[in-house]
Amino acid sequence: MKDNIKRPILHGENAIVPIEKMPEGKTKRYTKYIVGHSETGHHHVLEAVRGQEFDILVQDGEIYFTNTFEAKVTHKKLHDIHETKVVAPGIYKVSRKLEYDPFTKVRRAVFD
Amino acid sequence: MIVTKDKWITDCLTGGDEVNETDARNGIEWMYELADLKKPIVIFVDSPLAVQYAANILYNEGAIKQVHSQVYSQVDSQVHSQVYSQVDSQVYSQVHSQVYSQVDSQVDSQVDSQVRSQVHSQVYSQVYSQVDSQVHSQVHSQVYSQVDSQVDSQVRSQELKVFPVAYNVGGWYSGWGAYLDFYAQIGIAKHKDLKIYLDYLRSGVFYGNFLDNVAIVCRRPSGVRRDVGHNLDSDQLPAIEWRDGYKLWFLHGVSFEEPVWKKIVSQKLTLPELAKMDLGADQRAVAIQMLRADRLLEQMKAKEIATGKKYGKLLEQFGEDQCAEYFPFSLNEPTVLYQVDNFMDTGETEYCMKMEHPSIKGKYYIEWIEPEIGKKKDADLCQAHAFGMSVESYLIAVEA
Repeated sequence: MKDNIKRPILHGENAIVPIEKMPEGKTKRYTKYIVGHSETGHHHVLEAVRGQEFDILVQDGEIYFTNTFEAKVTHKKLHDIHETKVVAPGIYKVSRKLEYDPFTKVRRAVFD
Repeated sequence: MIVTKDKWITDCLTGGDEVNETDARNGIEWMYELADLKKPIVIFVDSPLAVQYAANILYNEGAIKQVHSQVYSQVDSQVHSQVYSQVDSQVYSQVHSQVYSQVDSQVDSQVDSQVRSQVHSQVYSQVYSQVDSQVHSQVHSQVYSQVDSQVDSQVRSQELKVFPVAYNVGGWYSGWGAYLDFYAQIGIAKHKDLKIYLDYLRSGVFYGNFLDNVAIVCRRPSGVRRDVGHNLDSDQLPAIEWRDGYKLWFLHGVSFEEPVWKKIVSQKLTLPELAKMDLGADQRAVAIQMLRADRLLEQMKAKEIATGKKYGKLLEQFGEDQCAEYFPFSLNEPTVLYQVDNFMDTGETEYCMKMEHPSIKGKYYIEWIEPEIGKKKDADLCQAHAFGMSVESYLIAVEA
């Protein structure tokens, strides 16, 4: 929907959130990148099309990327999948949903 | 690399439980000889538990004099220095010579050596990560070490002696085996006894004790069941079993005694029962995870205290047709926040959210939230907090 709002994408347990600018640091270029690494093997993957590349920076355990083209985020699983979503051109930060554990009283990453 | 990796994983875990006793015996005798030890008697049994039982029988009969002999570590250090480190240096020099020959020899020597060591480490890390570490992780970390720890605790619970396990067995060293095999296939690893060693690792020996004058080894499991993340897991059958009837039950990589496992998978476990059981944190977490959301909430006597407003706001703003097209998740049930008083008889109040999978209607799950957030009775705030976002960002986010 073209309503001029840059919407974050919540893809399973991963939040892909638009930010103003990339943090300082050396980026690397990829056509595909796992933004949500899953213990159970069904990763969430950022994919470019037609040979285009993302600029990716990983800093303090967080992933930042820039894309100058429409990309997509997909879920590599055979069942119970999260729908593929389009990622508009922009600068983004990817963070992982955390869940509180009432037994141990600590937060841990949510896994699919 | 992928073919090598997959073959080693398959052979070690699901390649059947037959043992090539000739290759196994040749390999074990070769390793003892490398360590300058007397040729052992090799005994084949059917399961890791049987290995420990056999060692205890021999010890009680006086055939084995000590529990903690140095044999397994002597063998390991000789195999390591004779095989692994030689192959490792062959790989290094091969990669170095192939790359160096492409590099202009006029390049500054400091840059040159930085490039060489960087390329070596990049090649090594690629092969390691794609072959060795994946095989090691799936075979050793996710299966072998789980089995080892269960065997250990079962033997101790019967007040028997636990004999140290050998490293040079298929279940433990398959990652190294895959690494050596890959380099042998591409012609870099050349060692006169490499075939004996690789044939041994592939012979079907899964677990064993290397002792003075005797080596007791067992065959691979007859059945291994895992989840998509390669963790031992089955809600139908034992996750791993051997032909002598030795079985272990796991759910998502966490072990359970059979009676507890049965109660969990049949949805007959109640929270009061769970609270009374002597279970570890991981076991409790998996047991709760396996309970259906509605049953869990009912058993906890959870009270509904707030409903998320996000979906209602989107429907109000865009209408059902546009939401169906652009925000299909908004047609799902909203997040519901629950309060659980006296959680698991602790006297504490906890909070959890029940939510419907954004892409799969009718699939629900529970996530917990810190009490200091939950007590604010705002379901959207709880979701935003869990995602590390502002509430404003959460309310406009698309979901999948």
